[in-house]
Amino acid sequence: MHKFTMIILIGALCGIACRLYLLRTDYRQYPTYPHGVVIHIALGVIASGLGAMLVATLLKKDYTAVTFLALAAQQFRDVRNMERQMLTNVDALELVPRGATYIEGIAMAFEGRNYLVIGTAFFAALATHLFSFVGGVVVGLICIWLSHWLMAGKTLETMVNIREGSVHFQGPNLFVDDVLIYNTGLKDSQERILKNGLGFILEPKNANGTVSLGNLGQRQAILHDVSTILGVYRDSGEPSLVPLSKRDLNTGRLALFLLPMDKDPEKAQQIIKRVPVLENSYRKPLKAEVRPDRQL
Amino acid sequence: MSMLNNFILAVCTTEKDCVSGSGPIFFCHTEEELQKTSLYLEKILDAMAHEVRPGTMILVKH
Repeated sequence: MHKFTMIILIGALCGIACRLYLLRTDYRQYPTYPHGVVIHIALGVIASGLGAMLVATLLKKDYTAVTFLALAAQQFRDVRNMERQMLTNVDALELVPRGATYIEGIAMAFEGRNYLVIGTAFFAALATHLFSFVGGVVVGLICIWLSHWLMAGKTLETMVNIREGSVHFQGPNLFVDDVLIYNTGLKDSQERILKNGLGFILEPKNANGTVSLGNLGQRQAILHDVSTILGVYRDSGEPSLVPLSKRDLNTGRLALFLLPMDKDPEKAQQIIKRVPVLENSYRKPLKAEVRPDRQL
Repeated sequence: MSMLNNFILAVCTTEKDCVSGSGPIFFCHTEEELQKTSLYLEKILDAMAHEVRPGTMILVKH
């Protein structure tokens, strides 16, 4: 086998393996199966081909080939636009929308993964050239593991303490513990809310959490994730039944009011703990030179 | 999607003296009638019924 063939083959295969490993359709059913998955596998193959080819072109001293990477970057930015547009269009028809922040996060992740695939393919191909076929595979596996580690974000559990709160009415006003959620005057709605509603209080562990939890996008993401997994007790034309989050302005706590189909507080709590912290909503005021007093 | 947000579409009340204006007002005789009328209007208008004071509901498009 020609030397370059082996380099490109190992690099491309490691890249494709990396893309497949990162392309796991979970409870969110995203990317959608089968067509969404096919699109991303195809792009992953292109990305890994580029990464592997780069090594071969550099060995041939064809340095201008590097400009191809700029073309690739443009291509993958389009992936981000594509994801963003599609999710935004679909979001208008969700019972509990994802929200723009969540969508941006997903779109960014899809673009980022393609660059990781290029990196994996490049280093695997380089190792094949420097060592051998086995060396290439080993470096490829290490890169895949690194990619997974780089793409794994934080979960809400690291930022907040979660406890169940009581859902109750004071006159027409709905409260979760002592936080006012909204006003609904109909007895029919009030009965259904008391029957199906769940309340949670999220207490930030420090000032970073307080600021990040205030973000409306992060709050919408929590509501969306719980509604996706446990179902949601609402429909179009039922405006009184809305899962909602409200802040306690004095302490920065967040009161969550949920309407799951499956009223299971234990599971809901576990789901909230596993909600990803959106990178676009995460702030670190404690890293500033002038820090807030409330550091907890 | 409608562009109309946070707008009072109708008012239902049992207290004639407390409500007036140019919007649609539904006068009800009993609390039960008030609840029923508000419920129907909520479903028809896709608006949320809020109790602003005992005996008076506003239907707001959110």
